[in-house]
Amino acid sequence: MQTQVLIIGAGVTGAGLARDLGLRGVQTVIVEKRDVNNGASGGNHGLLHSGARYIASDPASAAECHQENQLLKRLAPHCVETTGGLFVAMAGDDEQYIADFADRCRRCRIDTAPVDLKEAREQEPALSDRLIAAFSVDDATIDPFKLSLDNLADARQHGGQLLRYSKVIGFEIEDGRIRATRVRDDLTGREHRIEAEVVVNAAGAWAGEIATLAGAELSMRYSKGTLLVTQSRMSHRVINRLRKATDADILVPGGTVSILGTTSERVDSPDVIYPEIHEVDHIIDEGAVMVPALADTRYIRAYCGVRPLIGGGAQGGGGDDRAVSRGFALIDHGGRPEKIANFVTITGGKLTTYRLMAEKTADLVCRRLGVAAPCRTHTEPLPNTVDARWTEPGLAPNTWLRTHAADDLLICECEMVPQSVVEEIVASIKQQAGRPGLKAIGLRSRIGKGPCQGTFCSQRLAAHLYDRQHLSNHQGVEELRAFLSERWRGQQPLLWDTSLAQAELLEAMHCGLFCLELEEKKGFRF
Amino acid sequence: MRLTYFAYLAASICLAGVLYRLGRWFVLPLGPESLETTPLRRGINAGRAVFAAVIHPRRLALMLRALLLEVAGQRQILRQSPLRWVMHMALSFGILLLLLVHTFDDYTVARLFSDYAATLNPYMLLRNLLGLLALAGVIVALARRWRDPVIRGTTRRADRLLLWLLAAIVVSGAVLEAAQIVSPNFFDQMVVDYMGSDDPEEIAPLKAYWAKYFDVAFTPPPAADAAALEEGAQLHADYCASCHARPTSAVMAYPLARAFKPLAATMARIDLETWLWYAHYLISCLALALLPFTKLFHLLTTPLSLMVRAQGPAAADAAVNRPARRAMGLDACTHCGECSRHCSVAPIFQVIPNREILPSEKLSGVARLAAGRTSPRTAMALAEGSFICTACGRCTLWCPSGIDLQDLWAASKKDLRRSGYPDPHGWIRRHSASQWAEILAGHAAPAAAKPAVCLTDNPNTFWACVQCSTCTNVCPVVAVSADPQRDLEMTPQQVMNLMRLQLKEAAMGARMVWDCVTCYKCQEHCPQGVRVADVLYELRNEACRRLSFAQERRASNPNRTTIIPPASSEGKPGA
Amino acid sequence: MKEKEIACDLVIIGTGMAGMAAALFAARRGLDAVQVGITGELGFASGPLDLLGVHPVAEGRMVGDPWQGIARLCRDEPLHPYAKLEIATIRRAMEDFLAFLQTGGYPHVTLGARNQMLVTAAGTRKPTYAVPHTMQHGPTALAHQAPCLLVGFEGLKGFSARQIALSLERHWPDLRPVRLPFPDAQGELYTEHMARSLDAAETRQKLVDAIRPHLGDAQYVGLPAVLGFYRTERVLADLQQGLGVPVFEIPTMLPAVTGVRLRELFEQRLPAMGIRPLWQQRVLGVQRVNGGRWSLAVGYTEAERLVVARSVLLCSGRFFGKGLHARRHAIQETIFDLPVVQPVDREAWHHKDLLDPQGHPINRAGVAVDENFRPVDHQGNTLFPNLFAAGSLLAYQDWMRQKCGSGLAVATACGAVNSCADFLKQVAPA
Repeated sequence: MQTQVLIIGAGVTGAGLARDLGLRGVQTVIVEKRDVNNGASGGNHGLLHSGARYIASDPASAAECHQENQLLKRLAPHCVETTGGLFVAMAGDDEQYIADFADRCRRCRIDTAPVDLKEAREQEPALSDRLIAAFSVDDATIDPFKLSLDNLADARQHGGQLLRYSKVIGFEIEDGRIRATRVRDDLTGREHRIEAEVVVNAAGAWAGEIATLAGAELSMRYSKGTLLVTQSRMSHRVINRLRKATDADILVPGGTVSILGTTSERVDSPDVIYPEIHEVDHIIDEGAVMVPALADTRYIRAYCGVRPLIGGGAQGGGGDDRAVSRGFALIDHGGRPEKIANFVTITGGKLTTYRLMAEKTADLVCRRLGVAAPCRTHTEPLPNTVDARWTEPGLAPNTWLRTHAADDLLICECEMVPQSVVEEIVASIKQQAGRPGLKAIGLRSRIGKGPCQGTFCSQRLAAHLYDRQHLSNHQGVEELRAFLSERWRGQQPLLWDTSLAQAELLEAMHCGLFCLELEEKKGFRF
Repeated sequence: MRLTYFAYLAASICLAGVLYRLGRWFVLPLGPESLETTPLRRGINAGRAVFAAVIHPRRLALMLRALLLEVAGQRQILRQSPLRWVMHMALSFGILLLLLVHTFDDYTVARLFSDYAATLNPYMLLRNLLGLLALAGVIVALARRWRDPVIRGTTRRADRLLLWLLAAIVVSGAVLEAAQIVSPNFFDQMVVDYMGSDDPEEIAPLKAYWAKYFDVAFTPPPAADAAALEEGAQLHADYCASCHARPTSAVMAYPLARAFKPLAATMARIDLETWLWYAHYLISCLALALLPFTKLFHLLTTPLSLMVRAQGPAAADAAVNRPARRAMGLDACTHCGECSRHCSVAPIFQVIPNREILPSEKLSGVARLAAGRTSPRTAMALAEGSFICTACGRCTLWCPSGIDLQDLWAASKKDLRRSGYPDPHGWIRRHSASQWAEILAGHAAPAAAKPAVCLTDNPNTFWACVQCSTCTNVCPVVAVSADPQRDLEMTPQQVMNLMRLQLKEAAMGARMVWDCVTCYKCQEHCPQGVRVADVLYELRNEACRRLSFAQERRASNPNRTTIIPPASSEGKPGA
Repeated sequence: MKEKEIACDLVIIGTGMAGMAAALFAARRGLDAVQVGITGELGFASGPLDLLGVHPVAEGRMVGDPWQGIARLCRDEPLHPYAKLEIATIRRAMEDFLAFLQTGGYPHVTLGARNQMLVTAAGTRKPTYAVPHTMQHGPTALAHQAPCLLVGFEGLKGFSARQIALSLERHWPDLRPVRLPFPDAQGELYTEHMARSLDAAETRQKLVDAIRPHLGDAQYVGLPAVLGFYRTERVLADLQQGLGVPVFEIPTMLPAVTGVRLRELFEQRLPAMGIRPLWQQRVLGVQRVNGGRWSLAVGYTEAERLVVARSVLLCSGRFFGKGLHARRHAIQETIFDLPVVQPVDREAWHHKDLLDPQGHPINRAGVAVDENFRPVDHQGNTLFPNLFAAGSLLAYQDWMRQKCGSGLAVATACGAVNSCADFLKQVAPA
């Protein structure tokens, strides 16, 4: 297989880069070891920062955020909900920080205005009565899944290609150039080579691993952040704690839910991470200071992502990972000791600046390729595509009710996802030469995200996929196990109250009745 | 005496009123049957029915039985509440017997007993006892209207005023009697009239006797030596005893008289007893004149209603008779409020403050509708109340006046529908749930619901729902449908789910919500205690409330008479 | 509002398998018993009655002979509720229970001393002790790998004949799936409605006619568990006669008709046997009154009745049944606030893997009891002489992983009712 540019990683950066290059007429292939947004792109708040959060720690990032925020609101409005945001301080918070806030924002050209306390509590009744200061900012929310899928869909329109479950296992390096990249298809187990003029390492938290494969060294730190999804929407606006960035100080509304986070815990590897119970408890206790209802509300899911932070030692290691720059790192490996001329790494940064990161990377790649076409992503609106639409809460039920076709049964009752949506998603996965499994469909829709957390929809979806010939052999049991285990990861730290009752029902059906836990013991006979 | 003219006037008003109201029984349009007939035919048929009932021995027996047990014995009330029965018996028999032995004594007791005198026993005692009885009845009735929260809510000023009027008659009578007892003027006049003497010397012993034994308050008090008293006793026996018993047996008036004694001089000076006489007489005339125009009319109509009821329900009656029966029912209502106390949907009144939900209040709304005295606003309120009714029939069961309320509501619903206030069950089918969602989203509900009792806006209501579909499995409405998605649009558990997804509007117009028969099986069987049926019911009412509110606003705009958009063929499920 | 007061010997709290079994045993022993609970919970009974399917759990070893398995379990886990009973008592309790189902027209079939393997809707196999007669040919057909036609229905979600057939193809190659429309129905199907409609002979005939053309060489026909509601024996007989081969049901997703059949059976029979039902209500408050009696406020959302009882048997289930409730930091018993045996903190409640072979520690949390099934405190002291507990509420068991749910419910209910009856006999009625 040959291509002009090979991008490693289908997070939002890789997807954005593929689109940027596509718009410049450059042919791309993305290889992704799992599925879209598997890393930090899928494990964040979905917050389109106003920049105000970084005014103290990183003024340059703050300014970048502000510009990109304005740009995305204009160019990708379907991915953005312009909620507005508030920075709020509670009794006991650092008074000096509060006093400097407006000034610092002004220096970064970030719009902010003080809000009367009474008015702030009227706007957001959930806020604690211990509120002592409030400022309005330009925060918005952004759907990272939709953003990536829309970028990928547009990239496809311009000749791009995505290979999912394709893991890079090595590079063939000759004369200071990567001649080919060896890739293994994790579904079939087959290995193949991809020859590209330029290879871009956009593997996020795994960028270090990829660099190592190429013989390059990249000093990286992994900072895990855990987030919680509430059962219902807690606020109209994004609510930020007005203090030096720390744990559990952002509450982001998204559709019918709110997302509360995060934590920052150093981990050794980005591979096996779980939202931990002590993090959950810490987030809830801290969040409740800002919004007291968070102490009693029900949480439907916990998830985490790993922030890829570049430069460990250089930036004075140890200490607080939040102090590390949230700016991105674009590394031209041609100019580094390993001297690989056609290898570029882009990592760090944040969701809000994904487009800027893609633009800068594409500029570098184009220089290498000798392509003169300028960047168009800052003027060209991001097309709204069907690939991503079913991740939006409430869309499936509304569409289902409106069309109300006979025999279009609901597969997922909680989020009201009907068969027709499943079929549409299956078709789009197949179009990309993927295999329609339970997890892939779950990623592209709301299936399994409701309160049953897969108890009913998993088996209904499996039965449906079998009946429509999308699944064959004895994959079903493994699919069920994998889907439920994935859901469990986000459920396990939140199991108390009603959630625990529901988890018990889940186990009663899938272990008590279906004996899924015994299915590994194959071939047992009396 | 000029007062008599008032009596005749009152009697004429009463008679005219009674005739007018009876006449309206054959004119008022109540129910679709009234369209197919004329007042004359209604009248003739009613006459025929009465005749048939009277000549048919079994039917006559039924009527007489009803007269005895239901009218005289008030069996229905006795079964429901002994205290209320005592109250009603005291009030009704107190007043009726007073009319008999006191008000119209000239035509009754005076004719029967030649030696009758109002101030003799047992008449004096009886009158006082009856007065006390009626007064006790009034007090218990007022207490009941004050103590029971439902009844207190439905009690109107007219209800209380009428009780006060009855109390005023009895009390004014008692006060009058007391004033007469102590009045020296009255004594003097009587002496002139019956003893034919105005010689102070001659009268003095009688005065002494009456001051001592009859509590007349002379100023100055006459000397009362034994000789004078003996002479007085003789005079009394000669001139007075045939008409006067001692006032001590006036059990109600006598204590009052004792209390008045110190004031007797003043009272005599201003001639109070004459004024009291006017007052008592005029108040009684007022009550008589008001009889056909207040619920006092039930004195005549309720017995009729009970006897007609004994013949069977309205549905079993000939169609032509039903409108008159309903009109009679309207007149037979005593506004006792028992129907509202037992109404299945009365609790909704806590959430939707529309009085027309309560049957006792809806009844007057129906009367106004029939009389053509409604505004679009009041008619809309009536329609809302009418269509919240689940026709459970408990009001009919509890009505002590024997009104076939269930039949009345069925008829008034049809009338409302005909006058352009269509049954939500009918018009809800014009659109699909998602079309309704769009329509309803535009009509924000006025903040009438108390948030504390609003289930659908409280996420806690749905937290426990695991989408196990038990509610759908046990639902008889889903069970009888060959294709639930087509017939009902969504199943109960899907409705619960839409609530959880905060898509309330999408569920409000769904047929499942409107076809729910409120059997409560879903709620009873829900393993997680989700109040499924309560939620469905609340949704229905919320939709109604939003539409009524919008309708009311549009009503003032002559260009638009309905907010319910016409049906479109597109997207209409299961045409 | 003034509550009505009821006096009785025993209040059984709970209407799951344990509560119903307890009511049955209490009625048999002539106790004056009142039962409180939401019977809808029984709809979550999947059909097969487990006694012991897996031991030890960590090894995932399936148990061939459940009676031997129980003996071994009692040796290995002396705190397990089974260990509080003689095996003979468990055996008699199960026999009594099955006899009741038999007379109720819904017989269950065992292989005596052997567990049977049942095919599930997920295409997996489950070891169990007794199955409803409607399922009895399934394990036989599986054991013989007999040619079999598996019927699924269009519109019945979560049941795909093709899924079952393909998932089992290594164990049962001659399983042939077919998907048919259900007679006289369109759109989504609900198992309870299907079962009720098959109670009508006409629907059965239509179903037979629809299946027959696909029969081929099949020696068995498998269907989802919808074969009748009240008249399963008749439905099964008619289908077998019409098709000429044995027919069996495969358990569907929960809640299932199999559970609802049991619910109806108990709802009809128990009141006739003298149980006073306060169903579709729950215990809202409890107080210990004079002479140690229990006074329970019973109602749906507000107390409608007071039940004053000489003893109480708690069969209120676990978290789903609301017998236990977990707050963020601790687990509580919901009615009497009894001490709950539980892991030290939430970190230890669940494993990070849903299917961890050890089973989740929280599933072994619960109420600990003495040898008479009376709840004990953390020191092992009996709390009240007249409070008993049975069923899944009990600690030191993992019914989901051990596959012992029904057996545990029936056996402990029997044990608890026996102890309760002894107690009531000792203490002369006041």
